[in-house]
Amino acid sequence: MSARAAALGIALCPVCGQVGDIAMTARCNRCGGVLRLPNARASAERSLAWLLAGIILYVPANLLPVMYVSGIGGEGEDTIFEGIVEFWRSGSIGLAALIFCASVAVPLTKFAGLGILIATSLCGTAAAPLSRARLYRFVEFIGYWSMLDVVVVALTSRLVRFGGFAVAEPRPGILFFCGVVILTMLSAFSFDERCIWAPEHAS
Amino acid sequence: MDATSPPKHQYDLGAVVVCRRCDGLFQAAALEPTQNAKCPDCGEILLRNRAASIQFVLAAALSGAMFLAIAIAYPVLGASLGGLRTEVNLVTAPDAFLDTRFIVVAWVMVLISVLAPGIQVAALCWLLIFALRQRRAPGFSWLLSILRALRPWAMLEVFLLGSLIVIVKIGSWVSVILGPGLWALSGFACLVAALRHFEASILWTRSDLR
Repeated sequence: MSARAAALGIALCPVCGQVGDIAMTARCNRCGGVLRLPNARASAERSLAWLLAGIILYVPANLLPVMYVSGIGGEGEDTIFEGIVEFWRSGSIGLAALIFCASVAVPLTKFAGLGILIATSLCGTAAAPLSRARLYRFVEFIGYWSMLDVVVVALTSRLVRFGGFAVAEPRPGILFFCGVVILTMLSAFSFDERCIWAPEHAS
Repeated sequence: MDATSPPKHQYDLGAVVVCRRCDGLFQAAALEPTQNAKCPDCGEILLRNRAASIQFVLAAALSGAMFLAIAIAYPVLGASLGGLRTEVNLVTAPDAFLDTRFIVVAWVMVLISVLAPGIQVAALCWLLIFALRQRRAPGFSWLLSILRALRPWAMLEVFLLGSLIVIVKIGSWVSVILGPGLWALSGFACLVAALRHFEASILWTRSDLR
């Protein structure tokens, strides 16, 4: 493995990508962005705070209904999981699997992935940096696909407005679910990837 | 930190490259026009040829702006039942959450489907048109930081996949009409890779931009 810039007091400007010497200047001399050395403890704690908030909201997001529907098939309120079961029963197995991935598997994978990254970072371990870096990129990549459920509820309740014949409306579960997606995205962004590679610079 | 303390290293900071993901430190090498430099530790692309990517990304941003305009002006999906018709496009989709309990979700929808992608393509067009003429656009550093902050929040491809799911979901009890906006969104989704992965901060490194 090659040298870490942080070990030499060199930091990359996060705004413009210019390299700066932290001993000479605290701000990037090209764009004025603040130069920071990676701080494993601070980044892990900030990330953990967002993650815990997301996990807490995940409970009402799954217990409360996300949508109310009335129509030919009667009326009722569906939670996220009931929506998936309904797709499954109606024969759209592929779609049920897709929605299951976006609204159940992705959030749980994010909780587990970020949990592992934060825990290893807090322990200060230097083990398996490449695997952990890949895990971070995976979490970063899948993060925003959970927003799918919010879009589906929005489009359905905007389209199905037929007075007495058929109506769809959002229900509070979707508010919490939207919160889970945003909080876990913020958790991923506040985790400083550089700390995976240089745990000894935790200060 | 003491501003007069000598540096801890022997490097010429103009000749090194630092990986933004893993903080690895490397000597910069001269690249051939089609070459990229990859980080040997984490695999991130450190340097890539720039002149070509400016023209390519400008083309993508201009087409993206047109697709976005279509998906805002024309319906993405329509539905009809018993002689009644409803329509939805990018701007009217957040209406579903206008109830005061959900108003936050409405704003999130506006951000992910209109504001973030709209500002992204507009700012890219503006910056790159000037860059093509070897000039630094007015508002250069401000726009670059906006672009960087908005990047993860533009989610039109999620909107497109959501539209396709809704077609199946409500197709069994109402008749669904596919609008021009849906095709425009599909077009935009093809450009997303180019727009999302363009590292706009490389414009800083073009020494000819003044």
